[in-house]
Amino acid sequence: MRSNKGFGFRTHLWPLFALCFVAPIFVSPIWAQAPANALPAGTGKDLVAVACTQCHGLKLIMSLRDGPVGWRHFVNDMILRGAQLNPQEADTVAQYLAQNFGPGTSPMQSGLKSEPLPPGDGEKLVESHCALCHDLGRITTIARSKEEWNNTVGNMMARAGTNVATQDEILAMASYLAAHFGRKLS
Amino acid sequence: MKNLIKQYLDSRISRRQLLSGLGTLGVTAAAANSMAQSLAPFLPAAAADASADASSASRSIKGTGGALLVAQLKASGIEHIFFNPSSGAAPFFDALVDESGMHLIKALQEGALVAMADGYAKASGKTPFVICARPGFPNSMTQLYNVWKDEIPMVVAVDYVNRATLGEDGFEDADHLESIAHPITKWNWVAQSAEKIPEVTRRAFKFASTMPSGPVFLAYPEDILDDEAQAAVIDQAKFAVSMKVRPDPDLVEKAARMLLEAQSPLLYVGDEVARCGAQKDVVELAELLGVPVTRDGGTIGWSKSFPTQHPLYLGAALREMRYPAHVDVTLNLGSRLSYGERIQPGIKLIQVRMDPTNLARTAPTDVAIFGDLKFTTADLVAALRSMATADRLRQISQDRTAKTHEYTATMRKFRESLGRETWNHSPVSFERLGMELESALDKDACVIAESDSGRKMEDFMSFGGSDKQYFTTTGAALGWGLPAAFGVKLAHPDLQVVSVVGDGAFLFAGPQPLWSYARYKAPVTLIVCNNRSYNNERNRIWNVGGRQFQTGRDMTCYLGDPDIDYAKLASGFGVEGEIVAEPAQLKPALERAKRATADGRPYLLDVHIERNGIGAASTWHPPYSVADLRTRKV
Ligand SMILES: Cc1ncc(C[n+]2csc(CCOP(=O)(O)OP(=O)(O)O)c2C)c(N)n1
Ligand SMILES: [Mg+2]
Repeated sequence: MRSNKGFGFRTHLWPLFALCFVAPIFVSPIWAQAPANALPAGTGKDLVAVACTQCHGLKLIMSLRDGPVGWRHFVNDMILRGAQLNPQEADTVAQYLAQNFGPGTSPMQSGLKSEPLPPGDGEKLVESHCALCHDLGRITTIARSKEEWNNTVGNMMARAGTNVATQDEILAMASYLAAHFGRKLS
Repeated sequence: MKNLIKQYLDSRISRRQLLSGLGTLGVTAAAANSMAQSLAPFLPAAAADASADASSASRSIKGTGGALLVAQLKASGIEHIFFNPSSGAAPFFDALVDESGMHLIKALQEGALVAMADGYAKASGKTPFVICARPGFPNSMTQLYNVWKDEIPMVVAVDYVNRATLGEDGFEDADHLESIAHPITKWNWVAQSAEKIPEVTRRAFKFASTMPSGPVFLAYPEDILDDEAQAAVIDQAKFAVSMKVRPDPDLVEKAARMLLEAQSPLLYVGDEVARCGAQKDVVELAELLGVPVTRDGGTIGWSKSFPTQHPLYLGAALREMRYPAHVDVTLNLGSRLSYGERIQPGIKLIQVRMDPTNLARTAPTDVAIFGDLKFTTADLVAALRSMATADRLRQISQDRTAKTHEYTATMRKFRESLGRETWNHSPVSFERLGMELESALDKDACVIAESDSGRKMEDFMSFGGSDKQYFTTTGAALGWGLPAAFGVKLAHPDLQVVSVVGDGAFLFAGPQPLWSYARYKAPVTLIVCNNRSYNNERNRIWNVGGRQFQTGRDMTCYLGDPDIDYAKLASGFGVEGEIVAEPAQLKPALERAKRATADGRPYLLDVHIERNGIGAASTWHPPYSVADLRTRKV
């Protein structure tokens, strides 16, 4: 009988597929990627170091910038995917993340070279809002349709929380971006 | 020539002998073939030897290899033949014409065919038979790999190259086709003669179904399916080997002692609990000691072997559980426990498995018990009861039970509140889909899940125990869920069956399975979680923090351009369906699906659902057009 049970032929392709974020799957390079002591001090640091490293590493958390609403979404999502945080702890973690990796805290660097923003209505708003979380290379080197810009700006401002931009300001930013970095939807 | 034809019709010479005889008489190969074909209806089907006792387990039967195969499949308990036809297997399909006890189930792609059979096997516990053309076999392998990973019994067969021309690199002939099945089957074999067909077929069923079970590959050369032979057809029961093995009592005692002494034990459950029907025993054991229960994460594991609503159930295991803290003993009941590092140093590990090869495969194990999960769990319970008084057991369990109940109740309430926060999200959230399904489905419905991002909806649904049955696949080769649900429905026609698959997953399987749903009137609700994305794949890719993450560019995972209309697609295959674009449309749509399935028709819901995670909002994708490459309009 040419059975191969027991001869080590069974391969586990799963780790290739399961670089976490999702459900609890463990791939050592991920949770080993950034030491927990790299996290800035503050209430919540210890919780993040333990509860958020069961399935993924800290590199992404530390490189990402998001507003309080955005971070809260991530935390909620992770709880539904198995993170063991009770309601109070979830609040603490969301606050810690928003404080330490929120708008204005060393914006994300895309490595994309950006020309200065062309003048126009909305230019200053884009500069003052978008650049809080990421450099302008992320914006000026890409072409999006008007609809895509509307969605993108709307989503980012919603994540940043209420009162960060009015509806008019959001529209002004989206129109400016569509005018200068737009494309037709095919 | 007349004589030759008479001999053939009297089953005194084989089809091959007829063809070569005609050849020597100067008839061209094509003419000889068509002559043989036109004679086929006048051939006798397999005939049982008059002297054989029909009620005996063994019957001597005469017929073509194909007819012998049919007779043996019947004796092996096969009711359904999952197939896609090929000309070489003509004698087999011909023999089915006069066989009313077996039904042909056709799929239009072999991967889907195997996934259908997998769903059937998981839901029925039976060993299905699949047959397809040999060039179609490579198609079947995505799903055969899933079958292998889940250790599901199955016999997959092909018609093989005629022995007279084998190895000539001729039509559909590749050297050692059977060996491509080797790494993902328990056994592979090429049948050598018509009279051997029943025997090798029985052997294939025996190997496939004996635990640890798995798929087996068989090849029947075309000429032997055509040859006449006399052979014994024997009931499969005569080759059944019970693997309901009781565990070593010394090891059971050792394990029971460790569990009694443990301060913070953890129970880890896996698919072998479902395979051995040990669910109730496992609940009894968990309750006896008040042990919190966990399972492998993600799609590792195809069943929910512990009731997910049970107050001791924590959900998927984490490397280092915050609750319960300081685990000192882990008891693995029937889970593959794939990742050894999940068992932290210092934790004592007891493992019980039906699969001795994979028992203690990776994690250092203190007590490795080989045995049937039902017997072993019952023996553990008995050992615990004999080693400790009822009072002591109560003392041990009381505090832990109360703490775990409190923890799981808090988390359940918390998750529910998080779910409700997303109630009005548009597009629909997975949380809401989970809640709507929970209220719309029957308590004993079967849910077939293959939605990567959608796993969180399972938090809002109840599975296991007397609740819904849950099926998925461990192999994660996508394209399983849509066809597998067909197989589950075939096994459980009286249960409500719903498949919930990601748009990506659907497209790996489909759309061909829709044809089988319509053709065989399989009343299943087919839900496509259409987030126009390989959503979680993007999350995982971005998770490594590389250039796509840094620049915010999803180079690989967006699916929304072109924007597929799955309801329209279904309609093209004769399956009714609708788009659910807004959350409020979900409930009435599920009701319509319920009415359609009650009327005996499949129904598809194209649910526009959230993308979530990093980069989810962006619909940008690399712009590239082949048409634009042209320098002239051709
Ligand atoms: C056959 C196969 N091909 C490729 C993959 C890699 N893969 C993993 S997840 C995924 C995308 C799944 O998309 P979908 O089903 O829509 O999931 P969701 O959007 O819910 O995350 C792919 C292509 C796979 N697992 N199986
Ligand atoms: Mg998807």
